[in-house]
Amino acid sequence: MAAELLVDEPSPNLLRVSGEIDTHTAPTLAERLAEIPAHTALGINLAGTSFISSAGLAVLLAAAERLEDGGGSLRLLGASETVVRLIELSGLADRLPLADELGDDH
Amino acid sequence: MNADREPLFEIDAIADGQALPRVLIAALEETSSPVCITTAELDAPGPTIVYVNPAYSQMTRRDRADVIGRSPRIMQGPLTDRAVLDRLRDDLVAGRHFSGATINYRADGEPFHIAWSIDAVLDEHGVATHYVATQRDVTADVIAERVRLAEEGLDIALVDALASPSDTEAALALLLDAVAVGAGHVAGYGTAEVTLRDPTIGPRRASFDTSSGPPASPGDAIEVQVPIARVDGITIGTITITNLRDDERTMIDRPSLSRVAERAAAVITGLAEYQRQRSTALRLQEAMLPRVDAAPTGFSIASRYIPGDDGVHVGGDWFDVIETTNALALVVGDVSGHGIDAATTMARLQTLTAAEIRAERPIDQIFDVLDRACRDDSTMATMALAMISTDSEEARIWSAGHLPPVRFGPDGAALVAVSPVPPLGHLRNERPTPTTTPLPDGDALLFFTDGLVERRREPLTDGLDRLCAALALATGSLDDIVDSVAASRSAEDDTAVVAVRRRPPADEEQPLRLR
Repeated sequence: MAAELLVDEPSPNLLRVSGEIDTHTAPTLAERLAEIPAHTALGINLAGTSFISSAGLAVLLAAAERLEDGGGSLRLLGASETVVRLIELSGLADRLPLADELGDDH
Repeated sequence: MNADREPLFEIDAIADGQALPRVLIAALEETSSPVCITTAELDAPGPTIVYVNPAYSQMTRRDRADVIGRSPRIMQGPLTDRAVLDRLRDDLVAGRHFSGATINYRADGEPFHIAWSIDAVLDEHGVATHYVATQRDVTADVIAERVRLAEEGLDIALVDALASPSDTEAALALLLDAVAVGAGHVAGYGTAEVTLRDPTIGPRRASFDTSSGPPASPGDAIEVQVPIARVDGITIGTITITNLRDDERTMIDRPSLSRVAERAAAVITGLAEYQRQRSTALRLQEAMLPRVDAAPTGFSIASRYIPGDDGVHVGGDWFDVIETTNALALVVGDVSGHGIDAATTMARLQTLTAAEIRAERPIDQIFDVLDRACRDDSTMATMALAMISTDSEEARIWSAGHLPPVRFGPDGAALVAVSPVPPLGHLRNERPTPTTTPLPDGDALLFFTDGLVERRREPLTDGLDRLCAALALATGSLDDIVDSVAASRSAEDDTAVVAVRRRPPADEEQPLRLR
């Protein structure tokens, strides 16, 4: 079962992630996140993300820490109930804060 | 040049009763596409060649003067596909355009792949007077396409083989079959035999027969052989094309077979390396998981570790049960990632956790030590820890990003609402806070890693609900219960499950083994 992940960047401080963030696709996301300057107030739109594994959470968490350390921030937008629950169960509600609105054209 | 003139004039006359414009002749003479024009006699003795251009002479290595007036059949030979020639005749008789491909022969007898098309030249009554054949030597394209297909087949086979790497024999057989099929197609003739004699894998064989007709008689059977060599130069096997006639052998492109052999070596060593790593991770994992012969007095314990279904996911999950002065400590954890790296971190975390718990260190300090270990290894791990009191009917639970345990017993089953801190490696000095839950006699706590409940395209909460529902109805020994929930999982991820029940029912067998 090959997972698919699409990452696009509608604006410099917004990433839109669609598909599944799992062991196989997490490195792709990590690479994209690593390109973003650490002072960015970044939003990640997860409206198209159906699945996040622990590897996916690790990537998001590492990005959040890097941005915070660099004066930026990370917010998650449009996360599904499943993803929100996963974040809460993982004790990451404070580390991966959720924003209500989609900072997106859609 | 005079020898060339005459046929040209003949065509001039037929085309429109007048001389062809010089520009058209020049175009035919200059084009790189081989062109052959014949008369339109389909009945015996058949059409004769009235014009060929220089590109044709170059392809066939026949001078124009040698072919004018002769039948195009001079191009054909034993490997020429009769069915294509029959279709050609049918198309032309019916007045249709023909296109096809087969094998033709150059003047020196060398076979090559040709693709060509034929159109009729019609007179004013619509009757065919000549046929114009435009030809192309497609040998390089045919070989390249076969090699591409063979390589693609090997890559697909490797993916399939990796999907079930625990079955080493089946995975290897799948690859060898793909090598044989690929080599057979690239050769185009005979029987492809793959022999593997890798000392680490042992002897294996596979074969693929491409010949539709009867095998060549043993007397004139010829072989073509190429070695399967790893990048380090060590030969681990051979590809042999057997059962060849002499003319078939000349069609076999040895460099292409060598390319198939090269790819074969890559996928075979890739599979072997992968299996070696996987089995190392699995052994490490199994060596680290606790084995106790008896549950502590007043408790029953059951546990399972199940590698991922796809075999890729192995190496990060662990559990442990440690007795302290006044508590039974239950630990379950999951190191992010898989393979040897995850198994190594897992081993480190497990050892540290057990040592710290035995030394009865404060929980804050234990989490801090583990957090640093994860940062050292540049990874993260989730972990849940329960201290089940031996002198009161309660348990305290801490979690670093780990899924909550289920408490179940005669009164039903429910998730214990723990307040997790972030996973180990990302604590950033956050202090874990305990959640206290009652655990009376007959009640059990079941800890697990996400493989037990996670299903793709399904909310995680559904998996947790399903687990609670199953445990609410569960009866029998703890071992049986753990068996049944472990069996109902449908995850690709590896899974660890550990459960402890206080003061088990009298009928439960003791002591219980940990698996």
